[in-house]
Amino acid sequence: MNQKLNCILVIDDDEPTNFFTRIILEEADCCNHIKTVQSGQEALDYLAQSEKPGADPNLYPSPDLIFLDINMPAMNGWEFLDEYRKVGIAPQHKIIMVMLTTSLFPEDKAKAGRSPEISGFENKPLTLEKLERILKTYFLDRQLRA
Amino acid sequence: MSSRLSISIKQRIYLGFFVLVSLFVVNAIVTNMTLNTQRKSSVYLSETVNPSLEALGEFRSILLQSKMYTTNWVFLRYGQDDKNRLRKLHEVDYPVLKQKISRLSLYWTAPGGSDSLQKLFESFDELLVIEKKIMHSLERFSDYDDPVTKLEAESKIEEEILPRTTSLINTLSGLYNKGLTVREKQNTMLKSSTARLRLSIIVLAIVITCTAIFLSIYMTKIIIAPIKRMSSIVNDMGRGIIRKINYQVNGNEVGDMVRSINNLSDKLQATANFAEEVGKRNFKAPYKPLSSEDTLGKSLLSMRDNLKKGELALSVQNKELETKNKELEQFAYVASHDLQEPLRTISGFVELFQKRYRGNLDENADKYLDYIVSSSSRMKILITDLLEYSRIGRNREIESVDCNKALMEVLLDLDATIKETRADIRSEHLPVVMGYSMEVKQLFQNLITNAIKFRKKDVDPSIRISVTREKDCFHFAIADNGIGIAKEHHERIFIIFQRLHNRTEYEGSGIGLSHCKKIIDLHKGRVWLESEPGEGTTFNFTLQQQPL
Repeated sequence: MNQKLNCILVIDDDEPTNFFTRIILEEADCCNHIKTVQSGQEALDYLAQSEKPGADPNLYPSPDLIFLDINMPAMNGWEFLDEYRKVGIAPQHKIIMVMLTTSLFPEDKAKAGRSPEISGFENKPLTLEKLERILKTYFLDRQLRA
Repeated sequence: MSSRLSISIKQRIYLGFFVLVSLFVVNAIVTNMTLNTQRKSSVYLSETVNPSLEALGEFRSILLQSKMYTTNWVFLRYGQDDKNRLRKLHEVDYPVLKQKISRLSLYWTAPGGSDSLQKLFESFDELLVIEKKIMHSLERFSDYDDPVTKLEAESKIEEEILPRTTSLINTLSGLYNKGLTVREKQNTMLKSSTARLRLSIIVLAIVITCTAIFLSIYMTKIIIAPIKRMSSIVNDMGRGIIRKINYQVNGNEVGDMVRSINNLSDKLQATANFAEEVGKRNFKAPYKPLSSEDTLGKSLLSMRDNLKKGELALSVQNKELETKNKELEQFAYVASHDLQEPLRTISGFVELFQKRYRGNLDENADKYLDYIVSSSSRMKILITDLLEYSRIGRNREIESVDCNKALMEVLLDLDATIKETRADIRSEHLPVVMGYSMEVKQLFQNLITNAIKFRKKDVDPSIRISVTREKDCFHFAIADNGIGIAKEHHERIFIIFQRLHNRTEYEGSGIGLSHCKKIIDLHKGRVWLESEPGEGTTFNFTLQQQPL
């Protein structure tokens, strides 16, 4: 991988999971920034900042890829998506959103398939193989902005 | 109902007897009257007509004797006996006879009889006066010697006695003939009345007989025939067959009886219908006991109430059970789902740990790590299986499932395994069943996976799938040539997480067959197996043909 992504945003309420994902992402060395948040609200707040015109790209780098958990307290993955649509964040570039979840429910997978914002569906834990597959699928021809 | 039909049978029987008795009475009266008339006629004949005729006969002989003795008186001077006889005739015989005939003539009926008799007596009295004169003129012997007197007497005989006597006899004959005619008439009347009596007795006897026969046939028809029908219907009721009488219902006792039986039949039918409805658990069917003493009806009602109560209690219990069951399922579902999240993290970190630090620690540490990794991955499988087990039948719809298609998909999924183990799987054409498609597929998958997994080490697996159509379900059989299962384990293998073999021998969580059992239970089917160790195993199960 010689073309790095700018930023990957990881949304999961479980701190060890976030830590684990960060390790994998760091090991893969595929991006400049890794941002982990522990709730949907935090993620919305972050995106509000990062996608604001004239945002500081060092303080709030805009994510190319988001890993979204489904089962979270207060605001689950689906509710996050609803809010995301509602607040009208208009990213200046396409953000790839991938569900990263322990859910084995076929319903969740089917629902993810029906959501236009969701590009992929992966089961936890994230592995180098899964990450590589995601990058190959969604970012192969992509010019890095940074 | 017309008034003619509302005459009761009792009245009809009375009427019939009344008619018969009346006929007898008429017969008796007619006979009696006829006999009375006949008796009167014969009394008249014997007491009036015959003595009268006899007396008239005597009168005739007196007339003749009188003529004869008078003539003798004149011509025989010494005929003293005849003279005495003539005197006796004049003084005794004739008055007696005259009195007798006069008495009889009081009863005579023929017109003019008495008058002509009176004239006859008058003429005879005149004649007697002449005779007496003659007798007187020739009183003594010496009187005969007087030729004038004798000649005079002789000429009186010639001119008076003989013609008068002849005329009297003629008149008497007329009277006698009249009496004969009367007697003839009386006799004829007697004869004809006897004939009439005989005829009337015969006619009445025939009429009475016919009336009696008609009455008995009529009574039979209106009483016996309907009673026979009713008896057959009542017999049927005794055998539990409820019928009604299709009989023209009249306003008489038989009609009442028919109505009573039809009413009984209706009520019985209503009771039977109600019992049937209760049997079908339709507790809302309307029903009233036939009376306050209707033990059957009241028992039925209390039976219904008890059943209803029982049913209600059962349904409450059922609902509770269902809720409990759902809670349990929900618990298993949520527990297994939530358990896997931290488990994934653990196994993720352990794997990471193993990858980064393996060989950097001592040998024991590496071994511990290996155990931790394998145990956590086994736990992952257990939890995933448990989750899937608790998800069987959740949020699914019954649909028609083509088992051929399900099997085909399973065989595609298992393609690698099949090729690796060189398994020979053959199936008959399978039916379409009603069920949950995912579950049916999983059923086939689990059974085939098992059949391949528990193969004999030195024999390629051979699996045969067959199906037979039974009354309301399909009976599937999946037979393999594997290691078989000892009889004592046939029940145990369906219990969740029960295993018969060491994990190192045969991998697996021990949930596959309990999955199958749950799926078949869900489809209201049965599952059983035939197997001996070393002889292969046949798993049998049934699936419904019709919607569950």
